[in-house]
Amino acid sequence: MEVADLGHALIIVPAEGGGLRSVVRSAVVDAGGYAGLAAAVAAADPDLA
Amino acid sequence: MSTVLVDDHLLLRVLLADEPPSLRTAGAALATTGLWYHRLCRALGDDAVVGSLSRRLGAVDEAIASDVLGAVAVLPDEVELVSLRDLAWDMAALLHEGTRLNLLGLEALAAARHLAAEICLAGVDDNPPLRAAARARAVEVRIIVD
Repeated sequence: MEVADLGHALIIVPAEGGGLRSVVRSAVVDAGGYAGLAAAVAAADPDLA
Repeated sequence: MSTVLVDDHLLLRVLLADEPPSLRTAGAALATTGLWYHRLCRALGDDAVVGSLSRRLGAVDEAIASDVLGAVAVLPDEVELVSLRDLAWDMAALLHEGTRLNLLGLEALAAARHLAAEICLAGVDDNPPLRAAARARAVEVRIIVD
């Protein structure tokens, strides 16, 4: 198990398969991938393009 | 010791324990810029990412999912981030010399010069104006595709 202590909550995820970082990676993929997310930020703010 | 200055795409891979094998040789240091890090934090804070993470963690409150993202995005000590305290003058000088880059590009070029670093960009983040400005100042830029 991997435990992340947020101070006000404990997040416990299975360590197998990469743990919390793997879950975050999957969430980014679900959201369309990092390239698209960064492109959206850049489109909203040209100084970040 | 050599230093590679990474964009937000590559930084995210480092933070998620998915560093591209070709990014650096053993012993090379990692650095990024404030605005690349800022873009990463803004992108990860997108509602779609927070919502998906909430569901994947068992429908936890989205505030908790957001806190998890913030915890994962904390820069480890091994990743250097140069302050604008050390870059602002050079960024202004680059503009006065006629460099046409946005703030993100100016900070990246000034940081690479400050650290004597190689700039590494993800393939999807190729930046021809930054590459051209870097080449004119003998700063190496490498595109990472693995």
